[in-house]
This record gives sequence, C-alpha cells and structure tokens, in this order.
Amino acid sequence: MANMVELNNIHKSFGKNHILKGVNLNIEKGDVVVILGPSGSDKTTLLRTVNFLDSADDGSVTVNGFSLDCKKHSKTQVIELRRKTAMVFQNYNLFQNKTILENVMEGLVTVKKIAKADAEKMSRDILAKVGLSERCDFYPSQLSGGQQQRAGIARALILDPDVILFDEPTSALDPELVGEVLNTIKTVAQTGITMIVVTHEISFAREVASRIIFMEGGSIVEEGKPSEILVNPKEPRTQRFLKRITDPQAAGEE
Amino acid sequence: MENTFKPETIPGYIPNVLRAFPVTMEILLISLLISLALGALVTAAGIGKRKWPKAIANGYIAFMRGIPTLVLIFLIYLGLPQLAQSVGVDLTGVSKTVFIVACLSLSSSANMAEMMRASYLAVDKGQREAAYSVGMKEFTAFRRIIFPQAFGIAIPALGNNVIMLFKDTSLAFAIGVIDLMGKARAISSASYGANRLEVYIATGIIFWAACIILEYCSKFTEKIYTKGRKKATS
Repeated sequence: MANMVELNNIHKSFGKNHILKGVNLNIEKGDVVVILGPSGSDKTTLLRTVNFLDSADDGSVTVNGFSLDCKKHSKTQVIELRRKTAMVFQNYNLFQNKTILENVMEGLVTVKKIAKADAEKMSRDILAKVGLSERCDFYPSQLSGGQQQRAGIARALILDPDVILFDEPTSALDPELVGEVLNTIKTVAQTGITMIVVTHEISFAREVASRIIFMEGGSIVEEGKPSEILVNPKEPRTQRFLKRITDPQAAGEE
Repeated sequence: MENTFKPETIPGYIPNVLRAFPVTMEILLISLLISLALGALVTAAGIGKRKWPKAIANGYIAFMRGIPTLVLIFLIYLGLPQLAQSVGVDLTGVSKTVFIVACLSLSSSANMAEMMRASYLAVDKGQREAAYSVGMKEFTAFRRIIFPQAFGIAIPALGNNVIMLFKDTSLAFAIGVIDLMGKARAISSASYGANRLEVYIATGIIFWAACIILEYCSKFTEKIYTKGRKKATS
C-alpha cells in the first residue's frame, strides 16, 4: 500500500543542539501511529516538522505523494503541504476571537473557499459528532479544557486532511477530562483516517495504535505493533521507559 | 496686588474658547490617522526579520520618544523651511496647521508603534500556529486571527495615546495656531491679561471634559469589542 506520510532522514538543530538525528518514518494510509518516549525526546518537534511548523534542516517530508525538500522549498509549497494535514495542539490553540462554530468554519471559508452557509452546516454537523452542539456560539475561554480540545479536533477533522497530527492532546487537561477527549480521538481513529499521535497515555496507545514508535534522544529506538512494543520490548531503553511509566514508584526506588 | 480673580465669569468664557474646537479636532483627527499609519509602518519594520528596516525603526522610536513635542515643533517649524530653502523649495506658503499636524503625527507615531508592537507580541504564538495548521497564508492569518486579537489588546493603550495626542494639540499655540489654547491666549491678550486665569481655567475644563468623554469611549469600545471573549468567571 502507498505511504501516506514519509519522513526521510530528518535532521533538526536548535542552535548547537542537534535534536533530530536522521529520522526515517513511513506511515501507511489508515495507520494510527503513536509516538512514545520520555520528555525531551523531541517527539513534538518531529511531529511539527511534518507540517513545517518547525522546519527541519535536512531531509524531506512527503504527504500523500506531495514531497518537500526541507532545505529548499517555497512558502507556497509549505502552504500546499499544510493543506494536506491538520493538527490538534496540546494547548488547544482555538482562535480566541472566534466562537466555537467560527473556529471550525474558519478553515473551510478562508482556505477551502466553501460558501459560508454550507460551511456552517458542515461545522454544526461535525460539532454535533464531538458532542458540542450546545456550545456552538460560545467563545473558547468559556469552555472547559475537554470541550475546547474536542472543538480543536472538530476544527482539524472538518478539513478532511490526509493526516491528522495530535500533539499531546490530553497533556494540558485535568485528569477527569482526559477520558472524553480520548474517546473522541478513538472515534476518529475508527473512521480510517491516518493519524500520528504524540502522547503519554499508554493504555490509549495499546487500544488505538496500529503502530507504536518509541523515540529517545532524537532518534527512533524501536517500532512495532502495540502487542510487541508494550508487552515484549526488545530495547533496554524501551523497557526502562515502560517500567517507569507503568510503575512510577518502583522506578523511583531503584 | 489687588485680587481680581472672578470665578463666576469662568463659565462665560467656555463658549468663546469652544469656537476654536473645530481647529483642535481637525488637528487631532488628521494627526491620529497619520500617526496610526506611520506607527503601523514602523511596527512592521521593527518586528520584521530584515536587519536595516529594523535598525531604522528602533532608531526612529528611540529618537521620537526622547524628544519633547514642543522642541520638535520648534525644530520643524523653524528649521525645516530653512533646510528646504537651501535645496530650493519654498515652504513659506505652508500653513501652520500643517506643521503642527506633521509634528504631532511624528511624535505620536512612536507611541503608536510601541503600542502596536506590544499588542502584536502579546498574541499567543499558538494562535498563528493554529492558523497555519489549517492551511492559512501568512496574510490571512494576520488579518483574520492575529490582528483582531492584537486590536482588542491595544484598545486601552490606544485610548491613552489618543488622550495624550489630544492634550498635545494644545502645543499648537506655540507657533500661533488658533486652537483651543491659542484661542484662550487671544482672549486673554485682548484684555491685557486681566482675565487670563479665568480663561485658562475655562480651557482646562474643556480639555478635561473632552478627555473624560474620550476615556469613556475607549472603555465602551473595549467592552463591546471583547464581549464574550473573556472568561465568564473571574
């Protein structure tokens, strides 16, 4: 099957820090890839190189056949690539000056040039799917974190992207709100859309991921099915990480 | 010296001084528009990536904020025509109001630029990233997402700048423009200064009342513009 997303030899430095050291990653259509790894392993940076929010220094990014050289590209090409993707942010990043409905409509109207009336109807439908029909006319600051993040997911979904990038979508949420957002993401995953998810939610990864990637120190240490990575990790670094995360106390006592 | 102060005559001077109100408003409005445009230009240069425009913008702001408006008025009113003459341009026919508008625009534009820069930087960078993530172009993101939010942040400072600019229009009298302050001086001179305290108190009341109205407008605009966007609680 054709690859939906290809990352080829991605290098990235911030100043003197060489943080992504030649990452290669191929993601098939319909894959739900979960990237795990300790804090500071630059999972988020890797994710952001896919839609050029962080531009890699070397390598190439391909989304649904559209390939971009990280060293040499024009603004127009970056925009074209971004229009094949959508992103859900850790801090939701809903447009503060727009209502929830306007947030979801914004991309349809300004980017896809869909007539307002149609865009509004589509947006209301999708907001109903994430359970926010009652909140269409509220501003982001009037909603809970969980509601904001579900709106963020709706804003990404409505663009019908080739791949959705989730950047730690539940990390900023109060614990009791994590469930509603994870459930929404699970529903999205079942529609067969290609997803890359950076998260610390192991049980979510086990349930939803078709593939898990374990990253540390700016490179991929190990990858495979959840049953392989989470149950029988081969690499000692993966084993240590999983032990720390599943039994924090035992790890602390070592 | 005999005390000739007659407070009961103060209200009577107000309509008289107010006859110069259109001149003051004209100076204020034109200077405001020019200073906003100039401020936007300076801000764009200042926050851009190019080195030279950035250096020029920063130098401009540092100079304009450091120089007293009255000094600037004298420098330009007295100095510019001479400078122009030396390159063969005759500025003697240019009205004094034009000079005042130019000076106030220049001096206010630095404050406007600082206000715009601060407001622009106060918009969370996640807002731009979100706009890019849905595929917007830079300009669309600015127009639809960044600018409306920066504007909301800028309203209180903008109101403050307009009030400062309004008060600075009173410096126009220094080169003989008959604005509110110029009118007050003219009335006072006509009676050889006998009633000057009363006239200046009347003028002060006019400025004060106008500033109160401007402040109210600023608060009202802020309230309307940011309606619903702030948290319902707190």
